Amino acid sequence: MSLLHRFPQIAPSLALALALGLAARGTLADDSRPAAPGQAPAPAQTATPVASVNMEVIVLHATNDGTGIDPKIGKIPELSKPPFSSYNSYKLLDRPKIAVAKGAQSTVKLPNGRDMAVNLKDIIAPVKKGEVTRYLVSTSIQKPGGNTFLPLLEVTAKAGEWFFVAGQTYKGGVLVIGIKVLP
Amino acid sequence: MTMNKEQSRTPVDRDDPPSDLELMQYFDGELEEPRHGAVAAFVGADLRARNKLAGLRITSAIVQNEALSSSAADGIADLVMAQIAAEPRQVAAPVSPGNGLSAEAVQLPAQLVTRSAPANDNARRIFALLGTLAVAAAAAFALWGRPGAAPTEPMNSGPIAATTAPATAPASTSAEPEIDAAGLAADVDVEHGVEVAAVDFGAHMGSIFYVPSGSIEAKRVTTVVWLADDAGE
Repeated sequence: MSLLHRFPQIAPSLALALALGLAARGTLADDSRPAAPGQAPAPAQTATPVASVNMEVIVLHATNDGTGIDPKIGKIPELSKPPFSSYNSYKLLDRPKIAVAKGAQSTVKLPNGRDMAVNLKDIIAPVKKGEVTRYLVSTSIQKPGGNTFLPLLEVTAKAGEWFFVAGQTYKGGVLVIGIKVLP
Repeated sequence: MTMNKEQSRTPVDRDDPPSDLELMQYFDGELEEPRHGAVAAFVGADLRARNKLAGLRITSAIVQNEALSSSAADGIADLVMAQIAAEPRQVAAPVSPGNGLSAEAVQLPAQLVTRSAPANDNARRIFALLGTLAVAAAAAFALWGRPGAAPTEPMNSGPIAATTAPATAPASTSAEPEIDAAGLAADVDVEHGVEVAAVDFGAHMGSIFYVPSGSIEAKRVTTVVWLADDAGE
């Protein structure tokens, strides 16, 4: 039985949600188009004169071996919430700190032999009062043979806030990699 | 549903890729033989088809979760309202006898509350459902709508069960992560500390989760990108 048969009352809502999704895709597609030749490029974001920033990378091994969360990981309450709670045990494998200059790239060797590249693309200074500096960070993960596991993940983050890339299978579990810009 | 036209296709040509409608029927167990066998074989050999099925599974899980949480919330609301309705005398007790109000008049507010409660509950449910469905749609498009993401890896010719091994990704496993429908629905007002500016999952299936990172009052979420890793270590 199809979804709409099971929940006929949600059909209008589903249509609206799909329309919103399509609209969002259209917007994203528009954003990705190059500027017209005669069109002036958008003004570049004002960057603070910081030469480089320090980042912390945390590499965790998620399994269901019942050992719980490694105390060395520290306080990351998200690990007990979905989707992390699909695994009941998290072990700290590595916790390197890297310094990345604006426009430069740093590479972290992962336990599965892959390379994770971290690139600080921009430092976005606050525009309005009350805002904080944000960092445009891109990451990618390359397999040893040259193939790409994750071609691109680009985020804007404040200092001190984790974002995670998870799912690479490793020794009966998966790798969970957290990245944050250090204040 | 008017799917008979597509379902009436009888050729069991394994090179004939199933339409999206057929994939949906296959997912729902509505596809009949011999087409079912042909689609199963195709899905076993085609990564994109498996990704589409995974997208259907995620969407279905989110919607079902929301439906269940809504019905659970209804139960709680009914219990509270029944309790209020059962205690009109306690409400009337503090009223001084000299204020001219009869016991019936004092009971009136409780009855009004009982009548108005369903309207509030429906509004909450509708907004929660809309928010959840928007997230579900976004997830489906993230998985499904990748025109340039043709599989570049060798095709996995194993059965579809091989792609649902627990070690791959929560979104595609039988032990699927419990999707926090309430958290997703409240997504509208929460602060996304880390915002995804661009993502390319390549040939892999991927999902973006916003996980509550503190108390509900803090309304902060942590961004998690989760990819399926068919190739493994």
